[in-house]
Amino acid sequence: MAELAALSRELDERLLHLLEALETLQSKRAAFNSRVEQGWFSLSKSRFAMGCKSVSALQYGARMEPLVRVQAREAGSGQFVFQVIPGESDPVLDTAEESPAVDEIGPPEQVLRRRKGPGYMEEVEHPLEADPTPPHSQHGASAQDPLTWFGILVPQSLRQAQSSFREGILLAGEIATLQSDIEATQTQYQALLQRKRQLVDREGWGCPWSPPPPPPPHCRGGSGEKSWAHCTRRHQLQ
Amino acid sequence: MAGRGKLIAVLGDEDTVTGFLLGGVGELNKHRKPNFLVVEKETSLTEIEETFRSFLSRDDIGIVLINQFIAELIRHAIDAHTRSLPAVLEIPSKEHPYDAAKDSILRRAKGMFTAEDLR
Repeated sequence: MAELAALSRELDERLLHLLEALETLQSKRAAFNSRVEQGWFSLSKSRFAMGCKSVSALQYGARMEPLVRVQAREAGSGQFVFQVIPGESDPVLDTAEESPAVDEIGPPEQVLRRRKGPGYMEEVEHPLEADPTPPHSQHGASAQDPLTWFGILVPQSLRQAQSSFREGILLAGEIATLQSDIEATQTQYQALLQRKRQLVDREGWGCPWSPPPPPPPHCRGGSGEKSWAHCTRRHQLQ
Repeated sequence: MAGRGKLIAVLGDEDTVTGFLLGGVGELNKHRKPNFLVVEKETSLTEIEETFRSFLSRDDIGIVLINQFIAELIRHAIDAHTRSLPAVLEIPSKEHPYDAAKDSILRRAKGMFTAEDLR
């Protein structure tokens, strides 16, 4: 009987945990959906500012490296914890964010500008000697930023969209963790319930949630010890 | 790969994919294989399903984000995925709001309470 009580208590705890997790999942979902909706709105505003075809799949970069990754570690009993972590190139991105290269227009040195006139050759040769690195490697940091796919001067709304989706990605990690928790709890609950049923059937206690009712007269005797579940099923069929 | 963390894959309409790629989830690996798929009107169901299955089979993907209306098209494949990794998250799309009643995780949670259990 003590085992049954302990099992029932454990079942109640699992159930409460499951309901709490479902409630948290619902609130996280609402937050995620609102971030994503905000992101779409900002994307639409960017399209309005830049032109309809300027923000589409056609602008995706030829090279892509993830700036965020997700670390999945097992927390026991088949449950995983998903943590969104910055990718390897994120420190570079942070530098790029501090001094946004996408806002810079034109070459950094004015002497690079091509001008017609007598001093043309000297002006072109001098910067090439001074700065042999190609512009791509100089701005390798900003090349990682997906904002650059959509142009050098991007509207503020596109930055807002990026920030909304980044928040959404963080929430996605939390939602994935909650989903995994829910599934693990569900499995544990089913296993406990199965164990309790077996215990109840083995001991012949009848209904696990109430004291054993006296068996109906037609169920007494005959086939001997009949479980509560068996009798109930029979009554339902009748 | 495990030390660096896993990728987040996206399967969705253009705006959803563009948004998440802006957020920095996109990757084109050395075989030029992306971790995203933009689903358009012309995209076939087979292509969607194959891409989804390929995401599930890749060990460098930790989370798959999929628009719920696309998930509805390949519901059998989503329901068949019972492993915790990669986690499949059904997300809303611009034209189709999120419906919790359709979410496979919540449907499974709902289905665990049968009338017999509550008796």
